[in-house]
This record gives sequence, C-alpha cells and structure tokens, in this order.
Amino acid sequence: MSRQNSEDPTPDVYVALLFISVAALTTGCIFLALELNSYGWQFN
Amino acid sequence: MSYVGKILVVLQVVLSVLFMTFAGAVYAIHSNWNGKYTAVQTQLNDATQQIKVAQEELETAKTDFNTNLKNETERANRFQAEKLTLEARVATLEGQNNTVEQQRDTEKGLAQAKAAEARFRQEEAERRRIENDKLQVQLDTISGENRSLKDQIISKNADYDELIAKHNELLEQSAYLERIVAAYSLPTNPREVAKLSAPAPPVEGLVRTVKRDKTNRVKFVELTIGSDDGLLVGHSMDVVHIPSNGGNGAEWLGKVKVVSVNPDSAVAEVILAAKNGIIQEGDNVTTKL
Repeated sequence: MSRQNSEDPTPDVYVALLFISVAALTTGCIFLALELNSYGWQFN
Repeated sequence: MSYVGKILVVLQVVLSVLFMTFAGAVYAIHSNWNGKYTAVQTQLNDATQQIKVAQEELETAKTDFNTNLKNETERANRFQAEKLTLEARVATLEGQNNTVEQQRDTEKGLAQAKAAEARFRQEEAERRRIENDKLQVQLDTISGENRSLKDQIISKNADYDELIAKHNELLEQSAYLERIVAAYSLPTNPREVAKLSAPAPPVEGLVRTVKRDKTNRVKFVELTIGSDDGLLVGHSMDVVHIPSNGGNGAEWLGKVKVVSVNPDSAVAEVILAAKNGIIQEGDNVTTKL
C-alpha cells in the first residue's frame, strides 16, 4: 500500500480518455433523463 | 497497463461517445407524444365544447326559425289579405284614375283655352299699355289744361263771390221793392203779372149779390165765376141784363173790375155804371164784348 502511494503512476493519455468516457456517459444519462421527464417518468 | 487494457479503454471511450451521441439525438429529434396527446385532448375538449355550443345555437336557431316561420306565415296570410284588399283598391283607383284622366283631359282643354285667353289678354294688355301711354300723354296735356282751368276757376270764383255780393245786394233791393209792392197790394208773382198784361179770357157768369154804398149805388158785385174760370185781379168785365123771355132787349149796365178772386167766385168793383140801368142779382157778366 505504501509502495503504491509512493509509486503513483503518472496520468497518461488513457486516463484522459477515461475522463472523456465518464463525461460522455454522464451527458448521455442526462439526455435520457430529460426524455423520461418529458413523459412524466411513465413507462407505459 | 497491458495492451488489451489500452484497447478496452479506447473502445470504452468510443462506445461512450456513441452513447452520448445517440442519447442527444433521441432527446433532440424524438417527438414528445405526451405533449401532442395533451394538445390533442385539449383540442378535443374545445371541439366538444364548440359542438355543444353549436348544438345549443342550432336549437336556438331552430326555435327562432320556427317562430320566424310562424310569424312569416301569419305575415304572409296578412299580406295575402292585404293583397286582396289592395287589388280591390287598385280596381277602385283605376276607376278613379279613369275619371281623373277624363277630368284631366277636360282640364287640359280648359287650360289650353285659358292659355289662349291668357295670350289674348297679354296681347290686349300690350295694346292697353300702348293706349295707356297715349292716355298718359293726354293726361299730362289735360292736367296742364286742368291747371289752367283751375286758375280760371279761381278767377271765376272771385267773380262769383263778387256776383254773390251783388246778388245779395239786389235781393235786398228786391225785398225792399216787394215790401213797397205789397204795401200797394200789387201782385208780385210774375205769372200773375203776365196774365194781367194778357187780355181776360172769354168767360161769362152771373151776378150773385150786390153791395151798395151810402148813396145807394152799387159799389161791389159778387160773381159766380172765379179763378178756376181764368179770372184774375184786375180783369175788367161788362155787366149786361138779358131779359128773361130771351128777347132782343139786352141792356148794357156797366163795367166792373175784379178786385178779389176765389176758385169759384170773385168780387168786382163797379168802375163804370150805365145811367139808364141798375145792376141787380142775376145779371150777366162777360168779357166777350
């Protein structure tokens, strides 16, 4: 554990890609939530 | 990181981006069926309400139409009756119209006659105007003559006043002379004077009574003739005695002068008496000798 804290890898491009992915997923969830909100959260 | 991990990270990024894209597309493009349902439901309610209102209006209009139809039917019946009345009235008015047209023709003829008369009167008026102008000229002339005649009248009035004064003076003189003539018992009537100057009419009469004076001589005699027989005061008559047997012994007895007359009698004064006879009652008097 202490070894890991002392050896934190340096964020690279893949970490940035993961952040982009998180942002894209969040945005998509917001769009879908808004869509359901327009129907009053009724599914049938 | 292993090579497979890197590939998975890249694949996750790609799929996340695709997920975000599709979700955005669905949100942006996808139609809102709930909103459309609500709008359509609202439109349906509005349409239903409008239909209800329209039905009520239809019922009202139907009622009004029936009422109007009834009223119009009654009105049509009334108009039909009025039509019959008006037709009868039209027939009457046509008769009156014919009468009026005849009267119009008559009046037209009269109007034409009046117009002709008016033209004639106008021409007559023109002629009279011309004559009036001429008469005006004559009037002016006559007015001038009238003024001169008025001047003459004024002068004649002065002469008349002078003559009146002279006349009054002569009247006073005449009255004075009449008083003198009356004082001497002379007639003043010009007719009597003219008769006195004329000879006595041929009359005969009788001596009714005699009046003697103090010496027993006959002074006055009353005669049976008077002014109705033409005698006047001043006439002289002869007295004749004719015998009663009608013989030729007529005797002249004298001359008398009438001094007073009445309609059927007169009084005469003996102015000349015969020496051989005496005037008596019943002797004749005459102016024929």
